[in-house]
Amino acid sequence: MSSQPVSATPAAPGPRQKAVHPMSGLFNGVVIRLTLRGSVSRKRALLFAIPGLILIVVSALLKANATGSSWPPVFLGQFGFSVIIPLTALLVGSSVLGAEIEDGSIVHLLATPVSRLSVVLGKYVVAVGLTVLFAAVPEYLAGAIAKGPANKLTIGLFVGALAGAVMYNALFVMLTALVSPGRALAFGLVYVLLWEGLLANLVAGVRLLSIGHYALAIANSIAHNSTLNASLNVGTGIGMGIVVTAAALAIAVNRLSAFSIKGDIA
Amino acid sequence: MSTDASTSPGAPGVAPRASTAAAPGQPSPNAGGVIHDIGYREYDGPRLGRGYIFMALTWQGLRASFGIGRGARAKIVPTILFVLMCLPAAVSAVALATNPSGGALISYDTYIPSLRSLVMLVFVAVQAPNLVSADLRNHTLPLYFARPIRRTDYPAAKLVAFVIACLVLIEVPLIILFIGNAAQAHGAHAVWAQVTQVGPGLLYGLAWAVLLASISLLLASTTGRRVFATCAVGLPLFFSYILAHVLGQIGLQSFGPVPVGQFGQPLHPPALASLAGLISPFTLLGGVLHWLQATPRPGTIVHINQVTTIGSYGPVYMAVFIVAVVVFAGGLLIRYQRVGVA
Repeated sequence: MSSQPVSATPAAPGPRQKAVHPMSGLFNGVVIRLTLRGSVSRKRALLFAIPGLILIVVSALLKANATGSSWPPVFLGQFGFSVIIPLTALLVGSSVLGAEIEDGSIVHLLATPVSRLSVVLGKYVVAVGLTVLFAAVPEYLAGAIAKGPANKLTIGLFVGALAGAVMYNALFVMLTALVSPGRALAFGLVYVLLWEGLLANLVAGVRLLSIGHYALAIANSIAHNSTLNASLNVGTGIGMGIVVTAAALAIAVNRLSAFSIKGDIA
Repeated sequence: MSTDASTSPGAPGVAPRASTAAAPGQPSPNAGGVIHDIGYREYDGPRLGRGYIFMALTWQGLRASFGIGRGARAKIVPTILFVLMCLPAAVSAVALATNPSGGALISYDTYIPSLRSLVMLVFVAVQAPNLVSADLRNHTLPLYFARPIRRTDYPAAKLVAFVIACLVLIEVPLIILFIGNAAQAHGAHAVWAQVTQVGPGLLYGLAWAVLLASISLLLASTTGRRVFATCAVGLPLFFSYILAHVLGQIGLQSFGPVPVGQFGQPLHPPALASLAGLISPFTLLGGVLHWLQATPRPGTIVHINQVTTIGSYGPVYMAVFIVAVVVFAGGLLIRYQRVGVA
């Protein structure tokens, strides 16, 4: 972790007072802090919390009223994994990098001697953290309401949600590096809607390329619940998940290395 | 005709307001300054009024709904969606033509509910912003309101245009379906039977168009950025659609065994399953249809997963539908009351 502010010195004449460590660590504290501040202090941040809140409230209502006990895997598994986690990750993941590209301040960040890998990783870590806070933790709380805090299903759903946050955010950060921020949001929405929401549930072959189903496979390896409809085995889920995450981040770093600003940046 | 140049942004033929300050041709004696006549020619012919502006806005909105007047890329999505919607009707027509003994596969009322919901969801999310975003973003609204239109005319024209656009997507497949069926019908009596069936289907399509157009235009007009407007429309519609489905499913599974009727429809479903459909516009419309049909007619095809379960709450669906249309369409009109000269 570098705590060195990197923006101050490049133009300073004379011998440098402080050494700048451009590659001093994979994670740059300043990038992380600024990204966190930029993401949470916007009005848009209120939107992040809505899906999770709905998940918890509906779970509590179902718990109070339902006579059967088969609903938690259906609601938390299907609804949570195909809607709540991808949508929260989409909102968060497309704004960590997108907000700075949009207002043009990414130029100043990229002009500093911080490696593009550190920039992408810093943004990505914040996105994962926020998604965990706004989607995986509500998923756990909803599970705890439904089944109890130490239930296998609750733990499984939480672990699956963590994995989902890790994978989805890599994809959406990559998407913002590839196309303009607004378009990334629209493409991401279409992807979540058509690929994850529709095709992955209709066409068996698509599941092999569906992040939602990797996360479900990981959740199912702990929960062992057939109602979750996890069709991949856990090895495939973890393996493909790692490949997708690493590939997406590598593409994001690569794209950011040859970054050019499009549109009217004042 | 007034020669007073200061009225030019307004409509001199309609309301020459400033002519009280200066008589035509001669500046008033205590006028602070003189506006020079630098030779612009005036238009003093008849001016087209409010009605024509409304028509023009509607026509413009209808073109924008399908990307007409923009580049080829803007036409991709509407074209794909239109073809996708018409495909089952065309297939049905061909299937009936080659095998006339087989009955009709697709109902006029529901068409194919899942396809219609999905296509309309994408259509309103992608196309509704095209009608409203540019004017918000480029601050051109004051120019419209400087013309002799009322505040409500602009959103009303957009709404009419987008309802027509949605109708094109919903009704054209039904008409193709009708032509396919009527071509194979023998005798005037059979053709008339098809007409009486397609009529309610077209009316029900209007209910879809009105509800979806009001919701999507209101949501799209919250922001001037087109892509964000797309998400403002698409995210809530998608979220509520899945939520309604999952809750309906849970309602049938987790609230005790539900007896199943003659057509596979649940009898006396629990309240959750019956009311979950109110969450999403698509399932709300399904519930309205279910109530209007009361029980499915024998011989009609019932897709049990796709018809909203309404239990004994049918009138609630109709009431919520009416309230929703009034609220969303009214909200759109009110939204443009306050939009000001932003």
